[in-house]
Amino acid sequence: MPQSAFTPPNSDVVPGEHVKATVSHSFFSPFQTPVIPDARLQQEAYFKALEKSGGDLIIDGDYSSRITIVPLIFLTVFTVEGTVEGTSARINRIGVRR
Amino acid sequence: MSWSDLLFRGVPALVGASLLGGCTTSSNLLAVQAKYTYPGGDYEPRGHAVGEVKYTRFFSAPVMDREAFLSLQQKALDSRPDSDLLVDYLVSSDVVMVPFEFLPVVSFTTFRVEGTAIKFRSLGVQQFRDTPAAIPNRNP
Repeated sequence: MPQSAFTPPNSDVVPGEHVKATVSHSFFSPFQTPVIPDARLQQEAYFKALEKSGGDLIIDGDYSSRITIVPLIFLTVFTVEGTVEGTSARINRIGVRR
Repeated sequence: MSWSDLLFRGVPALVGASLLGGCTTSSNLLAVQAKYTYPGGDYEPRGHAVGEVKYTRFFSAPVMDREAFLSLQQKALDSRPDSDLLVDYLVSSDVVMVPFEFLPVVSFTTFRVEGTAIKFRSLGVQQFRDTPAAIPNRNP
């Protein structure tokens, strides 16, 4: 993944530190149907990773997800875990070019 | 709560919740930009944009095809005047099929696009110090 969010060509983007974050959601089947792949989970992972660094987007990163299924007697628990890792970057300004 | 209460109230509630929950299908997609942006262009963010449509169908469910997405995207752009493209957007589809997923009598569908609207201001010409590289040949 080259970038997690859009950067206007008329902007100044500066790289920051290495960031990593993991988020997870659990679904209880048959009461809930798991959403796989879940872009909302991916978006949450981006926000969580960027919270620590104060950046606006992640560049040169990876997003991976892992699903754990636990079958119980009357229900099955699906746990979807999303991990993002990359370099945080900050948009310093958006200008108008000469 | 007595055993009869549990049997006559608890079990139907559990079955109902399970049928309704099991009948919901959701899918979504995250994308960085909906259109090409020129390296020599000036762009301006216009704020959060949302487009949503709801359908109720009998014995079928609508499909999120190209036309459905394009009209949804246009709806989102219309929510922010003077905007030209959508960036950092999430497209989602939620379908509830009643009474069963494999036998839908009625389906309730929500298609939604939300992201940031961007305005294209102008296309300029880049100023280069030098021309160090030739344009790559795409043909094999």
